Amino acid sequence: MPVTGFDLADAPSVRQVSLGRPLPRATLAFRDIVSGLVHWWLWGLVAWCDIKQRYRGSVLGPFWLTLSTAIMIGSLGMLYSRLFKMDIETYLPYLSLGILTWGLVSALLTESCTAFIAAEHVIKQIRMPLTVHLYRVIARNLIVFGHNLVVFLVVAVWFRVTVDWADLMVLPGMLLLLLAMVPAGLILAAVCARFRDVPPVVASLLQVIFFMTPIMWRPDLLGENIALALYNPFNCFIDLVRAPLLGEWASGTSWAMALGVTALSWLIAFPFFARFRARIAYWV
Amino acid sequence: MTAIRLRDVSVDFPVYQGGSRSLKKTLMRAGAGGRILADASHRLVVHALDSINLDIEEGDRVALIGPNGAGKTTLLRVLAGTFEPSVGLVQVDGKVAPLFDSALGLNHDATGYENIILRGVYMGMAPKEMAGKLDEIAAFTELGDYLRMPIRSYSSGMLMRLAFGVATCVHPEILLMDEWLLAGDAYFLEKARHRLASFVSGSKILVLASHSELIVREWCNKALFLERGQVRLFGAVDDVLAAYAESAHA
Repeated sequence: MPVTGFDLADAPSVRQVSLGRPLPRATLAFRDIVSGLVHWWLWGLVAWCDIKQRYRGSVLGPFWLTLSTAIMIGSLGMLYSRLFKMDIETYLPYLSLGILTWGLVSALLTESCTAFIAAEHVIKQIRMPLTVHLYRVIARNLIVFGHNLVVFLVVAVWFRVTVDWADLMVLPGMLLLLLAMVPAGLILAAVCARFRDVPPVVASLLQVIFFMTPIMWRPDLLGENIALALYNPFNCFIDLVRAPLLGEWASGTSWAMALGVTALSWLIAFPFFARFRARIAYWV
Repeated sequence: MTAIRLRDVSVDFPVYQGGSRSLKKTLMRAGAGGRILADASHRLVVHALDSINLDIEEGDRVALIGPNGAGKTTLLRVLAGTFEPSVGLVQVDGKVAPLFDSALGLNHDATGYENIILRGVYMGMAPKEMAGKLDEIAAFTELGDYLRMPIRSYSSGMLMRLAFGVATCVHPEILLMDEWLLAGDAYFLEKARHRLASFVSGSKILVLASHSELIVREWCNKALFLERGQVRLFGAVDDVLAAYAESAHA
């Protein structure tokens, strides 16, 4: 049937087709989180491209970061082992794992802030799960973490840190860490898309937390105030990664705290994401 | 059946400016009972689309026309599914390929080949699928050895070839385009026209935002005249263009 011009005011052209009601917000949010994860080749490839870009034009690529981490760990190790009168053979492995894990956590939190802002063009043009942009940030930083791990390997070999099967407990610890980073990152990414003054606040908070968390110092130095360190959620997550690799068991407190914090962040982030997911495209 | 249906779709677009972009000022305003800073950071809301009802059927090649700010881009984004409307129902049956920005998903330091894959992946293809289409797309773009170079050395026309080649290779059922695409050199336009013609003849849908009467007449069989976020007229190209011209002179 050839279509001729008609004015909608006189002759409604709208067909009597009933459209399905939109799905509940929670379903859409859940679908976004899961289908984002399923599209691993998408965020994996984009994260890989981010890394490749760091390699371009420089021989060392991301190893520049490794090098600066190595210098930082080396010099801090020399200085603080003397300040705290600790044996460098045990202090340096402790310090290096702490700094590496902290580096991962803080990079994840800082870069989550710009996860949606940086993907503005894609978000406005192509429909895809929003979480893809967050998973990309996580994947990219895991690759960088892998590079930095070289520093620990050198330290471990140098100071003959013993390696055994118990070291594998680092894997569930890392998994839990990442599981907590998704909700935390989602909130940060969304809030930062709406309020552009939040990223610098996050950056300066992280700096404070770095000094408050037992990374350069050991919790027992706090004496009777040791609870300050033991119940610091950042310390708990770092402990899950650091302790197994040092041949110790992460404390039950760390596991309980880390599980609790992870559950809590999902409880906050999921309703938040469900409520605001559709608005994010308008915010960026 | 490929089709696009919109029922009472409204999009309210908050324009965040100055203070409302700041968490500190927003909190301070809340603390001050909304009095002190209310004027300094008032939130503007634009009604970008106002109860749009629309049915686009298979085989329709629809031009979106209307003055600047009429809501053409917003409507395209609603159709692409990136803007979820504040009110109303949207149903888009068919695989959508939006083609708004030639730079989408392009990494300027990566080579042309890498970018073909990257862009295809952004459009929902698996990297393996894209690798299989690499030769076909490379041949279409006729960029030859340029594809081995970082695309920061490309001209805008070359970027467009790359973008167009990838977008149409994913065999979308619904192609959403902004006018920029048809601004290439005459030779490439001819090629693009062939590709687009064969694409549209597969009885799929094209929605094209345009200001140019020439482009509308050439590419479209229907037109939608948007004004201030409302549908003024939807129908055959000639009638709608006439109404548009009339309103422009009025």
